[in-house]
Amino acid sequence: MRNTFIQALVDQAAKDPSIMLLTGDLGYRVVEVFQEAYPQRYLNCGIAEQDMIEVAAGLALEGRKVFVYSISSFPTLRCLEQIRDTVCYHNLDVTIICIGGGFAYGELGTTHHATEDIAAMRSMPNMRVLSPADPAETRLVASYCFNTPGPKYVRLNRGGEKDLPGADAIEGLEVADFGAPLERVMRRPARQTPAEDAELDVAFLATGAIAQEANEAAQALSEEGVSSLLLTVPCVKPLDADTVLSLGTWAKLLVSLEEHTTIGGLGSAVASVVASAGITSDKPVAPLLEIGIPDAFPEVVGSQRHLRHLFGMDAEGIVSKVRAALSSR
Amino acid sequence: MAELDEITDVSEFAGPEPSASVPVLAAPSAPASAPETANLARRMREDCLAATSSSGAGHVASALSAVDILAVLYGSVMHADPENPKDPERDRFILSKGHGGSAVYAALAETGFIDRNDLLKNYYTDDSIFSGHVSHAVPGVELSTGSLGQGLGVACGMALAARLDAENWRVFCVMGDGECDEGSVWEAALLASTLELDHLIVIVDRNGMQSFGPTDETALKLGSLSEKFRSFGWAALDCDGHDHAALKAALETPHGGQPLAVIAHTVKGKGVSFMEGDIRWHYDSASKDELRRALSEVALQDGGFPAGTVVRAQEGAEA
Ligand SMILES: Cc1ncc(C[n+]2csc(CCOP(=O)(O)OP(=O)(O)O)c2C)c(N)n1
Ligand SMILES: [Mg+2]
Repeated sequence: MRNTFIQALVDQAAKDPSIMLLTGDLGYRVVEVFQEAYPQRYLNCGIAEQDMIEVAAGLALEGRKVFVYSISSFPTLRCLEQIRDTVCYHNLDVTIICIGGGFAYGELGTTHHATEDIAAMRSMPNMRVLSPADPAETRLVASYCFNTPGPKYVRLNRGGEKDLPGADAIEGLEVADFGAPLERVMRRPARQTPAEDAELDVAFLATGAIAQEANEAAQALSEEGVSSLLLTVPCVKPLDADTVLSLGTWAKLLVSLEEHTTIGGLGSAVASVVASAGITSDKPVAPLLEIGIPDAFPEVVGSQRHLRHLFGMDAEGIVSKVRAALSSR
Repeated sequence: MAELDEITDVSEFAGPEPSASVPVLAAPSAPASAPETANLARRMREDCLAATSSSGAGHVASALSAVDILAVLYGSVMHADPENPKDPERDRFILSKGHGGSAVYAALAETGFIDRNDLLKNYYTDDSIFSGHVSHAVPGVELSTGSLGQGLGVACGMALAARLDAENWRVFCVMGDGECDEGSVWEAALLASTLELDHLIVIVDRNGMQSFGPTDETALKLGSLSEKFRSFGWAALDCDGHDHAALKAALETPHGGQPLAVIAHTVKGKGVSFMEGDIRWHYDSASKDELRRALSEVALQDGGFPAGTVVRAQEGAEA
């Protein structure tokens, strides 16, 4: 996903001379393509994330479209106040690219788990939060960033991710081709999706690379006779509340999935929509099962796969949580 | 400048010479022979190489760079008792460049704090407490780090607590040179000299490299770190970070009333010829074949390190 985004940035920079890329001394074997193509528009700010954000803001105030690149919590939590007071308050065109969302750097330890970033970024006025599920969606998010001014946070996994089924439907498209903002672009990667009028047991809303696990869970559930629909959510903020509500009135159970603490992320955003449904909608809305990281640091390290498993967020864990939720109703 | 002539040539070290206006005082004379830490360093190198290679972990060069510093600290400078790892009198150690964690684990394994086989088997694997970045889940580790610029402020807090409690233990903090890009390092540095935290000793692993290559070329110009610390009110000196006698002498330099910064000039990947100075080894881990070659090179170094001298020992600016 990281190479996909940077390649899109290189391509766009040919058309848009205002684009700049700043790195916090990260992106070895990733950002060099940009540096080589546009050495004057590339800057390694050193291992100094707070300063990098301020410098990006200064460049943005002078008309640049600035992309900053780093990993885990370094471009978010490490420089949170710089993001809030300078970038967001002044509504500047700065896009923060974060590699290593969730447990992508699982073995490296807690400092390298980006597990509160969505919550922190969502809470900032003016900030948009993008979290693509696969390379195809990453290209779409990149095109959205090129065409949408203001502060943006892009949360990527790492490298080597595979496209989810259905990627060909959006491959090569620009956000503008949808005739709608990215907030309305939710995908249905699951192979068998029920007809609009069919009974629907479960509607999954998944953001980021972990959508892969929801896709597998959806297949497994369908073999058990549980019908489900998976929508990926590349745009967590602003969230498409209408789609969430229409799913909530169709399915018997809503399930949110994110590789992030359950406090303040996608699940919380969906929960707000569901909780206020009584005010905004006259139809009953399904209950919500939030799947994410509980309010605790992992006691051990491990691969992304393993940590997902420990927290019941892999396909197997999702299936059993959904089964339990359906049977307790 | 007579003393300077007798001092080891430092031109091979990264970073410019101190400016002529900085007063240069006599270097403390180095002990006649290297302390008995060469063996410890050799075993630690083997552990770092084996642990990172078998698990596919990165940062082996960052660990190898700091091995001699840690061997001297754990082997002959710090008061650290494996029988009593929580001894209230112990010297505190913080690895602020947390990505060199395997070197700390190796030091703890080779000095009896933790089981070596446990480390080699479980480092950087599923369900392990041995995260790539140093973790306080491991006995003997005071602080988990991994976000650069994290350690020095914590070290200041500990040193202040020691003073408030009228305790005599010291705090040793190892940082990376690239890490010195972080503003938090210099915030803590100002506090340390303001509070005259003379029980605080920082060692900068000055290998001249960070994530993309040479520190001063690919990122920020660090220049002379000893001059910078001195201008921040510290006692500071430069030394060869692979010369155990020089390191020991530097770490024991009297620095009354001020915190001490030892700028240890090192080689990233030290001890394995094909890793030395090659940025690839910030990321990659050795294949089986590369590991074999690396281990045989390290084994050859068992003869110990030649006795050396502390270079450019200088007291800091008057407080
Ligand atoms: C706050 C923060 N930003 C970025 C990183 C990513 N990172 C890990 S190691 C490294 C380079 C460190 O260079 P240096 O401090 O010189 O350590 P060396 O490996 O050379 O000993 C970077 C940028 C980090 N761990 N923490
Ligand atoms: Mg370095």
